[in-house]
Amino acid sequence: MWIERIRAGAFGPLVAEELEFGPGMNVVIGPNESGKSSWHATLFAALCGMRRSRGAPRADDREFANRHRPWSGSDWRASAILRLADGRRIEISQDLGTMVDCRATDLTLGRDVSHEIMTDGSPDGSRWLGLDRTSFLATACVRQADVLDVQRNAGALQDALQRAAASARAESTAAEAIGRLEEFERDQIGTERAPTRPLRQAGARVAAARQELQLAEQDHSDFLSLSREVEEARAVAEAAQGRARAADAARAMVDADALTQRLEEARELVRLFPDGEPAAPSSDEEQSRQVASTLDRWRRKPTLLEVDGDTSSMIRSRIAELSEQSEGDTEVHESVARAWTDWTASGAVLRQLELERPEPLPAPETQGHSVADLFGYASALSGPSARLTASPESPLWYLASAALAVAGAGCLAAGLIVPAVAALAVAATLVGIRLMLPRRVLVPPQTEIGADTVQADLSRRGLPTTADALRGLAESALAFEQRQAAIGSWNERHDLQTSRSRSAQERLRAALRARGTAIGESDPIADSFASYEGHCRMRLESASRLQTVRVELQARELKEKQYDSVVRDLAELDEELRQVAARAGVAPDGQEEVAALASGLELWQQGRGERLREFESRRRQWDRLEMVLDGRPLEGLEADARDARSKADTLVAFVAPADVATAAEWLRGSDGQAQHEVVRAEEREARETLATLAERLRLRGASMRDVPAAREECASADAELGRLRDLAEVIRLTRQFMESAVDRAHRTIAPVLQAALSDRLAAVTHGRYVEALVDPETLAVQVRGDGRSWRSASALSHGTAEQVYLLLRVALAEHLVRAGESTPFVFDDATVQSDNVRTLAIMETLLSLTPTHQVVVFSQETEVAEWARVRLDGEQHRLIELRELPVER
Amino acid sequence: MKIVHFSDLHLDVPFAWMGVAADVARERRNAQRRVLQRIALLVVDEDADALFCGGDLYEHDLFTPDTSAFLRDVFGGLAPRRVYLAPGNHDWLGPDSLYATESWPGNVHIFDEDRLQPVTLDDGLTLWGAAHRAPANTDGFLDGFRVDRSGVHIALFHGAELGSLHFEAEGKQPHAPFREAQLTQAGLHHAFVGHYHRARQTQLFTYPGNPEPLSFGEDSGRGAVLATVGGDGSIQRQTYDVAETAVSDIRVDVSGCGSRTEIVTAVEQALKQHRGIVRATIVGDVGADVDVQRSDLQGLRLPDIDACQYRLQLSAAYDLDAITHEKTVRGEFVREVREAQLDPNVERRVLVTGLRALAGRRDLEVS
Repeated sequence: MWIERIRAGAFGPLVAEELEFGPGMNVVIGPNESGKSSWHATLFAALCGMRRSRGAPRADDREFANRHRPWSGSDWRASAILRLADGRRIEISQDLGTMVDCRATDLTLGRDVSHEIMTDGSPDGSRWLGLDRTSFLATACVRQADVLDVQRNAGALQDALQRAAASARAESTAAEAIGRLEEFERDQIGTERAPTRPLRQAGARVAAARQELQLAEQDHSDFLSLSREVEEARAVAEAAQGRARAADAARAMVDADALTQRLEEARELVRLFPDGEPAAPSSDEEQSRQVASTLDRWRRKPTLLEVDGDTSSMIRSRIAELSEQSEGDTEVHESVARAWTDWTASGAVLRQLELERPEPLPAPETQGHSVADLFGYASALSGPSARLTASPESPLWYLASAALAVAGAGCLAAGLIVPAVAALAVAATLVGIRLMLPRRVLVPPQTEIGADTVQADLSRRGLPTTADALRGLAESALAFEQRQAAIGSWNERHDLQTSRSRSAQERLRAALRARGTAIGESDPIADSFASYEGHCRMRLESASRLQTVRVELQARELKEKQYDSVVRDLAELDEELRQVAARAGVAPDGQEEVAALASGLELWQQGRGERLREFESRRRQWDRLEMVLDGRPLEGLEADARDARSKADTLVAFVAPADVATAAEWLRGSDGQAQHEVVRAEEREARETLATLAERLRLRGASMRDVPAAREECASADAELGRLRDLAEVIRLTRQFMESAVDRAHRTIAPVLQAALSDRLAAVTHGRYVEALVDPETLAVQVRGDGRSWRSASALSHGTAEQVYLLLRVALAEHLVRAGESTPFVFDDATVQSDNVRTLAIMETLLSLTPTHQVVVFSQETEVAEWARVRLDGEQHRLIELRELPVER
Repeated sequence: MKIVHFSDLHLDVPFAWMGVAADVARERRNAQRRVLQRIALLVVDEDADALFCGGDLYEHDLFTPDTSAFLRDVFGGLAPRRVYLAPGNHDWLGPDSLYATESWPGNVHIFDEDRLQPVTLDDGLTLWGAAHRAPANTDGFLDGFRVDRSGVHIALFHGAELGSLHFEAEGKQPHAPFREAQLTQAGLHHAFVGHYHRARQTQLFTYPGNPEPLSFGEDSGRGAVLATVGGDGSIQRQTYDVAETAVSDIRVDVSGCGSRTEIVTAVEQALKQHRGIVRATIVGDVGADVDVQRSDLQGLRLPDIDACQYRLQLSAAYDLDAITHEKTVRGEFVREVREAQLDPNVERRVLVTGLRALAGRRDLEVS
């Protein structure tokens, strides 16, 4: 792009002025107050226009307007004719006062091409360069004030350049853009943990909405569930109601039938009592009671039994007789009995002794030899003889015999005849045995005599000569001796016992006599005792009979008393019967037999009973009638029956006949009423259950949450959360790409700027500085001379800094301008801080740009004017000299 | 015999798709009820003999006790005219559905079996109806079905005619499917059906479509159908628009608008041509500097518009190709984003967001 012409319609002090430029180097020379800065501003305004902002203009716009509004008039306008790299010739006209008539026109085609470069409401020609009015101003269109401000405010220049580097439109630096993304993400999205930020709030809203939806759906589910319960309850209630209706209909039918039956019965009963209530029979209750009582006594009257047998007086005579017969011992007296026992015992002992009398033995032929000798001889003949030992020699033998004898005597004395005899006999035997034992014969053992000698001696003595014979003889001798001793002993005992027996007999005789028995001395004692004993038995029998007769007397006396009593009672009953019969009119003369009177009374009683029963029967019928009518007239009952039938017909009409029949069947059963109550209770219960559930359903329905609204809120909350998450993702991606782009741009731009700067730095600074470093992020510049250390450009002299940043602007502009285009460079007093040498070096450097760029330099410096006159030749370069503007325009 | 047939009213359905405020959505549900009242009025005005509903009368999972009272009143108010209801998959007949738990007026007949059951409408005219007994997996009612008597036979049920499925929006499930040929094979002269929201009528069946809009972008022709059934089984039909709510889905091209004000004005002018619920998609290329937000449009006050959903699909007039050649951070940014081969929409949004950030703008949310 290059600028053919600019026109200031009215711009600051300029009015209807034009400047024409060549495509190469253009130096506009003028003294102070010749309008150089105004022309610089006019060029910028004509090319880039002004921002048409909503509301109040920005400060820099206000300052620009203040500085460059027309000094007179209000038609603030500027225009320019451009040549673009694509060959188009464009006129841009800027209505700076109203910002209305601003346009860019293709002068060849006559078309409005404003839309291609519209920026902030007005056409901006720098857009064809890929820049905008701000970045153009920061790089290619350097104002005098910016040059002067380089050293004092290098940061501002760097910032402006950064903006240009970021977008070529100088609206924002990349760092600011990233910061803006972060700020937007922080403020408009936030994180899940930032409670006041939208994302967290949207999440909370989603959670709340989902919970509300869950509750609403639960409400609805509960409602549906409850609806089912209600329907089930309704079905149950309807079934129960059907049963109850059937039962009611059946009940009404049964009741109507009963009422009809009652009516019929009432009609029948009414016919029985045309005269009304039946009269009660006359009152003879007391008489009836007396009759009944008398008849009762009559029926239970005692029977008069005859009393036969001995009379009581006769029995008393027999008692007196028996009393005499029973006087004396009725049993054997003790003294007699004891004496009798003693006597009989002694007799027994004596008889026993007789039985034990020992028989005498014949005497053996011992020739006068003792038993011992005989045994000695026998031993001598047979060898050594044995010693004999015999136990009867023991003292115990004698003691036993004595004890038995004493016992026998005791028994005898006591009248125990048999034991006494036995004991005495045993004792005697023991003694006898002892006495009959042979004495021991001892033959001295030292006597040794030859057998032959002995035998000879024996023979000589007339004794047997053999040992056995001798021994037999000895034994016979011994037996004989013993028997003889026994006989003696027996005799002694017999005598003693005989004496005792006589004594006992005397005592018995005395005892009998003492008990009144007449007994002579010669009377056998046993007979006397038997007689006594017989009399005792006889008296005992008499005493016994006396007792029996006395009992007989008592019985007899009782019978005789009872008999008398019955006789009296019967007499009284007869009298009572006659009196009652007389009162009852059964026997008015009172002369009939009592049995006939009793029969008459019974007949009277039967007649009265029949009359009473008949009355009671009619009374019951009357009562029944009253009960049936229940205090109402028959017509009322008829009306009731009609109503009941009508009601029953109505109820039955709404129920299936089969159901009524079934209900009627069980109603007529024994527990029909109870069943009916159960059915009604079930119906009531089912109805109440239904009502309760229906009310619950109603309340549930009234309070249930709105599911569609909850779903809408949920969807809305989800959408909002989705929007924010989606937005967060877009912002995240944008920032990620932005940071990556910044990094890549910095890596690209740094070497380009450094190379461009370094190429021109030596020429401009006359070799003082030959190398430059550019921070791609801040665009801060460091320079150094050959082999020297790096120094910040902003720390150099004002002139050097101005030159360094001028070169940086040029380099940046060259870098940023859209490919295929070239930017014009416009400088207002760009060398104002440079010495002559540096000024010329700068002008040479700028001239070196002109093959590819248009350069417009506004200057008041003589050196520049002279340099221009010398260096600018040819059509493409121009030297424009301005005159000092008049004070009043 | 004259019949008014409708279906797919979907009472109590959420209107989340409208993206409107709760009170507006509630008002839409009220409008659905008014639509049913309009249909009932149509029955009376046209002196129709019966009202048919081909299912999806309400939403089983969403209905309120008030809905049941409303339906009872509306249908009961048509007595002695008969009302025949064939539950669909959204209002399927279960133990806790309105159909089962409500005490319906005597003139309302609900088909409650999942196979076609006959009802004599008139001498020689039999109506066969069936119900969905579950929210899904209902077999075709015409499978193995054949009428068992003479005369004219019509059917009422909720089912998907498979030949029409492709006319529906993607994702429509073919509940209780059938083919048109099955109607003839079954001996039916005509079927009044519901399920498809797009109205469709052939010689053998009638889908009236949803009478009240249920989404943006619905075509016309939906409503209640007044059908006259001839003695020979012939059908004459007329569709009545009974919608309470006007729903418009418009595109407003604001290309060339140089400022937010111009865009807002353009949208306002476009909206003035509509009423009810509108979804306005704002498209076009506008200057990169144009800063327009949804909130700028939401501030519009238009008396005929109940609610408007705005979708900003503006393309900023960035010369991305030119920017790509910039040796700036911006150029690098655009290059990198374009090289990343993102989803085109994401790429667009990232580019515009980044370029706006570099332009110093704070309206960084790009739809």
